[in-house]
Formats: sequence, C-alpha cells, structure tokens
Amino acid sequence: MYGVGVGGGGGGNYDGGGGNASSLFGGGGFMPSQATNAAEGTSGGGGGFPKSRNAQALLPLTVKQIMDASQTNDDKSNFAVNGMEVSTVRLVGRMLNKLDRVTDVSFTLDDGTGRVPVNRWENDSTDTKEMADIQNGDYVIVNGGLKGFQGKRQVVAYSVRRITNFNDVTHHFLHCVHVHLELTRPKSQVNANTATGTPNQTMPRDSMAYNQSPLTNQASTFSAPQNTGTGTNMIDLVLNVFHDPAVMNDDHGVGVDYVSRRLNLPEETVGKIIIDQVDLGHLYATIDDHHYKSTMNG
Amino acid sequence: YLEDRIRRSGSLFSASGLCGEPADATLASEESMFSVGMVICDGEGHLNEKSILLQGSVEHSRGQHVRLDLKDVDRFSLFPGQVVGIQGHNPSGHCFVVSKLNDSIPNFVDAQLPRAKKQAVDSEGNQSSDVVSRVLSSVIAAGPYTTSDNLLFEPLQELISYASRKQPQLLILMGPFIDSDHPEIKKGAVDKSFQDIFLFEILRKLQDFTQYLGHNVRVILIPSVRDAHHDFVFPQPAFDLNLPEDITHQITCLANPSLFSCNEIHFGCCTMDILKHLSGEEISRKPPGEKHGDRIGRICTHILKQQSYYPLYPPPAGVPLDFSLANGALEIASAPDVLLLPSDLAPFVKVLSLDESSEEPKRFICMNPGRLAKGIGGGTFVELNYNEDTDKTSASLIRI
Repeated sequence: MYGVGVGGGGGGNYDGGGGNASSLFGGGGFMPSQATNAAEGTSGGGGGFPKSRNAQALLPLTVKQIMDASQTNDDKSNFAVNGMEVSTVRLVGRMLNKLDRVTDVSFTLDDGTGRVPVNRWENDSTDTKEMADIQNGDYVIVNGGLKGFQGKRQVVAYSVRRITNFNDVTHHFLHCVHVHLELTRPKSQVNANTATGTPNQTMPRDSMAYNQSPLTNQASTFSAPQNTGTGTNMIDLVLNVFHDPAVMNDDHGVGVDYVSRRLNLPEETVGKIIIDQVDLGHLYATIDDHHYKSTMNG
Repeated sequence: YLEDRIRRSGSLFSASGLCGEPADATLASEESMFSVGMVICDGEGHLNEKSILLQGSVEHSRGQHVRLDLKDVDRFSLFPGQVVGIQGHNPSGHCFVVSKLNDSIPNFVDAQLPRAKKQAVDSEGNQSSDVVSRVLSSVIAAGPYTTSDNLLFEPLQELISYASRKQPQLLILMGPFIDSDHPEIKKGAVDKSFQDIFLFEILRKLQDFTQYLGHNVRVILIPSVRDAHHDFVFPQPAFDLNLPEDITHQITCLANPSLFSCNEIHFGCCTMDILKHLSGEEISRKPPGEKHGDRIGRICTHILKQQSYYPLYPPPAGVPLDFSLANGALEIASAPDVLLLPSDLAPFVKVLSLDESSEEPKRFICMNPGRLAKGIGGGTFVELNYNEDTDKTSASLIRI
C-alpha cells in the first residue's frame, strides 16, 4: 500500500515522501512512498494520510495502465490499478493537439503506450504562464486526477511541467515498473511472536532514494572557486566572506581585519590566505593594498 | 558571431589534421567521435563540473547542446564561451563522456597552409626581421591616471617625468583616462566637459613630453570602456583627436582591442578587464597531488588559445559587448610577442608559452601593468626592454 508524505514529513505507518520532490519532479510536491507495517492501522504521525484516503496517493502510471484500469463498483468515476484504488496520477509524455481556451487548456498526452486527453484549468495567472511556456511536441510531467466521463477516461491536471532533463523520462518509466512490481508482488507473511499472535504483514522498504539532489546540478551562486588546495576549509571560509552579497556590493571591498573579526581567526592567517588568493586571481585589491574583493563579481 | 566562432574553429580543427571532421555530439553513439562546440552553463549561476554543456554549431548539431561528463579527463580549465574540441562518445544521447579535451584552437597559418608554403612564410618572416632589429624600449601604463581625491593627474605627471628621464622609444598609455568610476566624475562635480579635461590635463602633458623628447618617441593611446569622454561600447573605436600636424606621427590613437607592431615586435592589447572576468568564471581540475599551477598565466594563455580578446560568453553585467562589431575586432589573427591586459588583478609580467607539448613552443610576454593610480595613492606601471626574443628581454614592474 502507498501512503503519501508531503515534502519529507512522515513517520509511523506512512513514510514521508522525498524532501526534494518538487526539485526532482517539479509541481505537485507529493511523493509516493511505501508504507511499512501496513496492517497495523493508521496511527502514524507526520506526513501520512489515513488508510481511507489511500486513493489520494500519487501513482506514477503509463497511459496503457490508465486505459486498462478497472472501474470500482461503488463509484463509476473511481478506478483501480493492480487492485489499488487510484485517483491522482503522474504521467510523462509528449504534448499533442494543444488547444488554448479562455478558462482552460486541453491537450493529448502520448507516452508511447497510448494517448489520453488532459485538461488543465487556469485559475490564476501562474497557471496561464505555466501552460503558455509549453508547446506541442514538448515532453511534460503531468500530475492530476483521473476522471471518467461518459465512458471516456481523462486526466484533470493540477500541474503540467515541461521536461528539461530527459533523465526524468527514464526515471518515470522505471518508477512505474517499480511501483507496479511492488503492488503486484505477493506479501510475505512473517509470524511475529507477539502476545496477540497477530501476524505482521511486512513489505520490503522502498529501495528508491527519493531524496536525490536536484537535477539541475547548479552550484550555489556563491560557491568557492575550485582547486583551492590544502587547508581548503579555511580558504573556503575566507572566500565565502568575499562572496557574501553585502561584501560583493561594496565597491571598496573589505580588509583583512574585517574578515578576521567575522571569522574569529588570527589576522596573520587570514592575511596569508588573502595574499595567496590574490596571486591565484580569486581576489583583487581595490582602493589600496588592504581592501579586497572577489573576482566573482564580474 | 558565436556561430561563426564555432564553425570557424571546427574547420581549423579539421584542417589541422589532428582530428577528423567534427560530428554531432548530441547524437547517441557508442563509437568514439570528435566534436567542436562552445562551453556553456546549464543555468544562471557559475560554471561547475556538473553544469557543463557543449553548444554545437548549427551546421553540425543544429545548435543543440549536450551535457559533458569529464570524469575521465584528469586536467582541464574551462569557462563559458570557450570553444573546445572534444573526443569521446555519447552512449545515451543525453550526456557526452569526454575522453580527451582540446582547448587550443589550431593556428590559422598552421592549419590552412601546406608545409612547403608555411616554411616559405616562416623564412620570409625571418628575412624581414633581419632588416629591422627587434629591439625596443617602452614604458607601459594603464589608467586611472589620477587619484580618487582630485583631478590633478599627479600620477600621470610622475609617469611622464620618469619617461622623460628614461627616454623610451615607445610610451603606451591605456585607458581609462577620464575614469567614469572617479568620485568627482560620478557626481558630475566638475566645471569642464570630460573632453576638455582630457585635452587640457592629459593631451597637453603628452604634447609637451613629445616635444621635449623629439622624434625619437612614439606615444600610443588606447581607450577603455570606463572612459567618460568616449563611446561606451566594446569593441571600441580609437579616440578621434584633431592633433597639430607636427605631432600626429608621434601620438597615435588605436582601437580597443588592437594589434600593432613596432620594430617588428607585435603587441596585442585589450583594456577590457578580461582577466578579472575570466578569473571569476574559470573552473579547473588538476591531477591529484600535483602542485598549483600558475592560474593567472593559464587564464592569459586562454586568450591566445581561443584567438579572441574576449572569449567569455555571456559577458558579466555592465560589459557593453556589441557582437555586430565583434567579428573582426575581437579576433586575434596571429599570436603577438607582447600581450597587454590591464586589469584590477595583481600586476604581473610573465613569459608564457602556448603549446607546452611541442618541441619549440611559441613564447610570448603577457603583462598587466596594474593601475597607475589606486584610490588615493599611486599604483604601478611597467618598463619593458624588448631584445630580439623573450630570453634577452627585461621588464620591471615599477610602483609610484
């Protein structure tokens, strides 16, 4: 069974999803995460929803899985995949036949396994901008609700994001395979020697690391320059002072005494590091030979 | 301009015979291939090892870019805008695994001329250099020429006094002359036009100097984008001075950047602070355990390896780079003997070589004379006595 964790919360029965959900997949921010000890009720704290809400789990699916999904008996608009009730899905594919209207945008999503109509309601200007940036032929990640209307299946999207890193496509399909296997794998029964004798139903812990680093690989704007040699930590500390926006915006730069005070390091040590960094071209003297700035200012 | 650079570099690489015809690096292939493109960053921050993309030419890669994986390269020095040749393969189509990286664009003469013709050109050059002895005494300085507390141009007067004593054949003065960053210029607290300040405070002093030394001295003036009385654009035209006829042959105004020669010694000069800009953007890797190389020297050689006075792209905010003017102006057609790169970085004079691996690497002198005035105090300039080649040449960095 899958619980939902919101951005890294979670505990008890429902593990929180990855804290980096939004940076890894963009939009949504809900990451499916496998529940452990699923038979033990719903007392877990943190990011998990109660068992009755498990249809809210965001499932990565292919279009074929959606088309093959069976409708649940109690409600014609609800669907089940691999025996699990599902309403919120993540799809990845190419946008086709985009049609802009006043209040919404409709398009067809083709992921190679089939095609499904998608509708995105534009409630405010951010929604409009999000959709304006995406054109026919672009690969997109769609998070949305699965709906059935007059026998046809469609997705009402609440997030549509253009893919810039195509690892996301591969990742999505691997994720679909992984989730499908987890949901169809027979649950191993382990008899726990507890007083009640109730068997604990266990599932292997989700092996996928959701807390991956963001895919853009961008270093922080104020990262220290590379190859700064031995005593790197101290050099980085000194350079980070010069990369402080307040210092970078000061035309005159700062002196050894300022850096020394701020880092609580001896002036002699700081002075030597600064001279070395001037020789390497990471820093330069400004109004005199005692005030310095970083070359990262441009 | 950028597309031209990539395409021209690609043809120079293939014409050099060192590597094959450039292929499309964005296409998936298990086979090793050679490609040429421009290093770009995948976002708006500074370049780092994980954010390096290669932008191909429209001709070979439809202008598309591909991520570079440099895990197999033990030594590199990269910056955005750098044109490189890469050998490697792209198994997935999304990431090019580099096995060999060449950041030095082959020389035009080396690449385009047959060997016999090249030797003829070389020997022609040698013959002509016998006629004029390659000996030159020079004094080289870069602005500002006045301290930040006044507009009296005392450091310039000091420099001229020194030059009058030493009597060099060449005095090279690089901008800014009327520094737009000077507090009084910034405030507009002057009662003369910027052009008048230039004419009366600077040009008049130089005219007196040339009259004092007679016809033995030449003065070269090169503007800077920090010059308040001149066009704020880069590349930048020369000053337009209406000088008296008797000294027009002694005071010469050149564009920024420019390549000029004196006594068969070729000088390249760019007053845009490319060293500082490159220093802020360059990233490098060296084999573990190896000592620090000369980082500033490495940055200087990039300029000649890239055959461009301003190979960085995109330029930092505030650099008025105009690509419509760049095509011929930024190109370094042949490697100069002396490369003048005035910068806010620490002043230096270095003898550098372009290709360490070759038997006779082309050696050149690269210098940053520093600023003649720094804040409320004096700064530095360089005295260079060039003698035939770099081995017999002497240079001193002088503080005023």
